Amino acid sequence: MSTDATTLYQDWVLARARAPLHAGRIAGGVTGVAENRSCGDSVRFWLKRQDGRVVAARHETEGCAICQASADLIAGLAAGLNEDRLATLWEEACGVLESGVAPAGRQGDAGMLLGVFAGVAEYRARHRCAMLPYQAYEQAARAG
Amino acid sequence: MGAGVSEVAAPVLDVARIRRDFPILSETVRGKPLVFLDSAASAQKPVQVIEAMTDTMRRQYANVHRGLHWMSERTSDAYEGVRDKVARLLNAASRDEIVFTRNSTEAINLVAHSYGRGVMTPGQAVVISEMEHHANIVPWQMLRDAHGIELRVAKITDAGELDLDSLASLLADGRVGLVALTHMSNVLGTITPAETIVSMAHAAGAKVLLDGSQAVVHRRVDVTALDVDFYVFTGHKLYGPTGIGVLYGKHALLEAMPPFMGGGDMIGTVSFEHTTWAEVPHKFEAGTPAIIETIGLGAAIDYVEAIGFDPISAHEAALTDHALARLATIDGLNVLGRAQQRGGVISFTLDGAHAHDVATLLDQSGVAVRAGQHCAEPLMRRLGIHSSARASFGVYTTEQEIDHFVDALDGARRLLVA
Ligand SMILES: Cc1ncc(COP(=O)(O)O)c(C=O)c1O
Repeated sequence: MSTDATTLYQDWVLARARAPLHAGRIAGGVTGVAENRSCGDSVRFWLKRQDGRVVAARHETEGCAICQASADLIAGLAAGLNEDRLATLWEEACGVLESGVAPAGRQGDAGMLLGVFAGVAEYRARHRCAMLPYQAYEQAARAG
Repeated sequence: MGAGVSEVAAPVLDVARIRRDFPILSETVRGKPLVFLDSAASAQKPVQVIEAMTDTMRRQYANVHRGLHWMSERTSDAYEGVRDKVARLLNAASRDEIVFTRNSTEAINLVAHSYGRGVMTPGQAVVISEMEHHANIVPWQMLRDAHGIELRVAKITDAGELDLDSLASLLADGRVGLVALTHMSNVLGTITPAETIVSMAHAAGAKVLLDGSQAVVHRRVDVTALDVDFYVFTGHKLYGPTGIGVLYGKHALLEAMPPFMGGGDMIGTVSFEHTTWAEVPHKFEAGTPAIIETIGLGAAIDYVEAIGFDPISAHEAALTDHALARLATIDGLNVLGRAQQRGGVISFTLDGAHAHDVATLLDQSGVAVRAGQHCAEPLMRRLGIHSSARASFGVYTTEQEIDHFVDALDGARRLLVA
């Protein structure tokens, strides 16, 4: 399989990277950070819980379009799904990174996340860009 | 082993002919012709180097310095012949001043260990600069932490040149034992004023190590004329193989330094009570060396010398001028550094686009550039950026390749920057 610029950098990926829906901080939230030392990218996640459930998620991301879009989609998903379902989706996304094929018929942020991962699959050096935000999310989730 | 570029010695490079010497340049990437603009990370290899190495393995190979048999003697001759070639390349006073290492990194570590711990005394200082590669930062930090040596950092100017006032002030108290600076920045392309650095350091009683990893590829280096104390470079950037690097050191300094590693080949006599060291440079070459790679380096040196450093420098200067002029036409493109003296390396950022995205889009057009921090995190911080992309040129780079690169870059900009 071979992707070109239009499959990796689809309009909605670039639009989401440029104008994220969940950027920012949460006062009093728990936080976690992940960095890619080789390129200088960093992602910080903020989570707010109520009764053990994540009810709000935000991120501050310094990175490429793939990393920005991935962070924003994960933040959107973190507030909507419970943690186990997000972990399952994450495993599925990592599988897509291996196979390069996104399952058909998925909607919303989950569908987009799988789409980003399918686009980046061919560019092994970029896998870390797509994966970095989840590490920051996990750190924050573990923090409280 | 003769590995000449046939009889080319004209002042202008016959690039088309040179390109035929590099088999990899006819490969395609993602269905497009390869445009390799990442030679500063590691250069491609001419067939003369490839054949010198495979010929060694096919026809004339044994361990060196040990066997009394024909094969070992011939292989030792070929291996030691490269020491002569390196000495000539750098214009060293003697072949004994050439130590083979694995790469530049190992050469710098050797000096940090053997000169830093063995000759320098706690309370002395080492000076580096803000534009060093990690290879010329971390070994000195390790020396600082293990041996009570202070580490001082000379500033660079906003143009990306070494700030000589800063260097002068760091040298002023006379406590500096060694100044270790790049001879050419792998990020900014800046060529540092080696003669001035050496005379300033010597006047302050300090020795000088120059990291020539980039410089040696682009220009003729004369360690005797520079009067530099240590000079290091790495074979794979000079069209040679990986696994072979060089430390030049003045003989008296190498004599005064204890060995770096212990083992075979670096000893005089060994008993369980006491061991004596071999003569310089073998004292620093423990174990079976990178025989095949060293012979490959010899072929690489023959190759660049047959082309000639004047035409190489002229070719790269013309390419750099052309690239800078074309890049200036791209909206929002910022070239890092504007040193007066520069080699064929151009790093840049693009407003509103991340270097990774730029590099991936260039890759889709068959253009290989580097993106990230270029093993120079402190420099990135000094420049106030997180990452950049870098295009770098070699003897085989053409103006058409640069045009293709600039066009692809402009396409990436149109896609990425709203
Ligand atoms: C300026 C500079 N110094 C040192 C090095 C290290 O070279 P090596 O990794 O071959 O030891 C490099 C290459 O990456 C370099 O560009």
